[in-house]
Amino acid sequence: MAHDECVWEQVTYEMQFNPQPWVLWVLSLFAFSAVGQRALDAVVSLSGDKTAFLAFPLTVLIPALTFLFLATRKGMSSAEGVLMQVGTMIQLLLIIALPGFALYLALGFPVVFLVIELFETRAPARLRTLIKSRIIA
Amino acid sequence: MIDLDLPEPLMLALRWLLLIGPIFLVVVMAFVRTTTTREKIGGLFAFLYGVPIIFITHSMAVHFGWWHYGWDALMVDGLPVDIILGGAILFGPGLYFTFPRVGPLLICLPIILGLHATVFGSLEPLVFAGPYWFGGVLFVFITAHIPAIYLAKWTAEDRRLPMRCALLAIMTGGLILVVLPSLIMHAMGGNWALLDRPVWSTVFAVPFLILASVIGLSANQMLCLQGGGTPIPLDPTKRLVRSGIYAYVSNPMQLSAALIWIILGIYLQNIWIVAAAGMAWVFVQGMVRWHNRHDLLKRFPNGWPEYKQNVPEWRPRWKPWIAAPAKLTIGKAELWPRLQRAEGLSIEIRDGTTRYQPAGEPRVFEGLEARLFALTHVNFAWAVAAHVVLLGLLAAKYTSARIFDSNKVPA
Repeated sequence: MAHDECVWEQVTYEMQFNPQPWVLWVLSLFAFSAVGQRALDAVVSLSGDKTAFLAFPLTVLIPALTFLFLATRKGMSSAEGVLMQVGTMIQLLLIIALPGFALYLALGFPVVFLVIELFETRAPARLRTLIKSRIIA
Repeated sequence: MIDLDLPEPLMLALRWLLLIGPIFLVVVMAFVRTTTTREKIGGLFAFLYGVPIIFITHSMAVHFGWWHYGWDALMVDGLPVDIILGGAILFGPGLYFTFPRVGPLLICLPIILGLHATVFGSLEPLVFAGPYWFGGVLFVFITAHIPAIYLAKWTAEDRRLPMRCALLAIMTGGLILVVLPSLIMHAMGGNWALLDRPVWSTVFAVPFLILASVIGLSANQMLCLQGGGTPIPLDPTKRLVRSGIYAYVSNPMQLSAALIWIILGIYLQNIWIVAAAGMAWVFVQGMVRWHNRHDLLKRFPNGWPEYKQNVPEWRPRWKPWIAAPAKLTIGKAELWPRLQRAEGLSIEIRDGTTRYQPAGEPRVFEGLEARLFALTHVNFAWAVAAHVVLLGLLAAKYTSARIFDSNKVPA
């Protein structure tokens, strides 16, 4: 092949970040247990005050589906994105597990992003590196 | 009207279905129709618009006795939150994804006549219909459901930007002024009781609320006019906006929300609503700064850092920061003394139509609009005053052009 016929393919590699598998497994295990507990409460409530049953789709299913959606997201473009993903999953887990505090936790969602921003910009570099290496793959 | 007598277990299942059904519909339709990213964003906007407007219109329905809801579960101000969310999902992304090529009116009309008109009165204890309920249903469809589906459609097709921005502004206003304060009062205590408040406090609060709202609304208008996009980063501006209210403060919408919560909290004598202003700060520190770093800095590497260095996030500058002077062409008789003290404004005295063009921005304004935009160069107080008039003037101009001469509709 003549030199001028050569075609050079330019490939740009973009870094991709994901949570460590163990983080996803642990959070999923907790979420699964919390959903199970809330489902049990809902069924039990059918024999008396039906609030837990009526509240189940909004307070359990929607957060659980959002959790599932986040858990299956792959290839974040930044390490900060992974921290936000994990932070949001933890907040959703708390919303499912602590129904008495669910509204407060939902209203306080921006705090998750503030904590991650402070971690990224203010935390000591050594601590940041240590935590990131444990959480991010 | 069909008079049904459904057993309670079926009504419990129906309430579940009113939330789970729309979610299922959206998920299935999003896969079946292989919706594009813009269609998904349109669906999300329709949902976000639906939530506050359904909440407000249903609150009116309960207040005026058009209908009210049974059961105590998940109630906020007498409204079942799950049904409100289910309604916003169904009459937003749900119906848009299912019938993407059908007009919103044609989608909604069979539902109003076929479903609501026949079974609405038979849904006790889920919902108890009162007198005038049918008028209430029509009102909800006209103000909430039909505009929501239009918003999804226009966003997906990337057209009618001014209408999209207007609907998004209504959505944001509804969330900031009604939904979030209602949720805060539900969680922490307090009530609206607007009719029981002293008249003087209402008279005192309303002008401040309007003033605070103008800051946010004018930011929305500038993003639409000069940025060519919406305030929501999912449907972002095409150009960096640094003129108008953005020449004074870089987070005008968050500032507006924080001021509204402070004023509303004082008016309602609720410290928790005042404290929500702190949440606006948290939102800026956590989310907006992240967005700035990962989006605006990458898209506008030349203009953004210089702008951020000169324009504060919260405390507005008294004089504007203008990167390059805008050009004002104006007759000598029309040159107001204030304009001679304007910053970043290159004035050319010439008789004829007054024209204003910010540097590096494509749109040219003429006549009264041009003079008002020139006033935004004087100082913060004049900028807010000019934006009050511009909000009404440009909206009226766009609406009249749509109604009377669609060829003259601004892009």
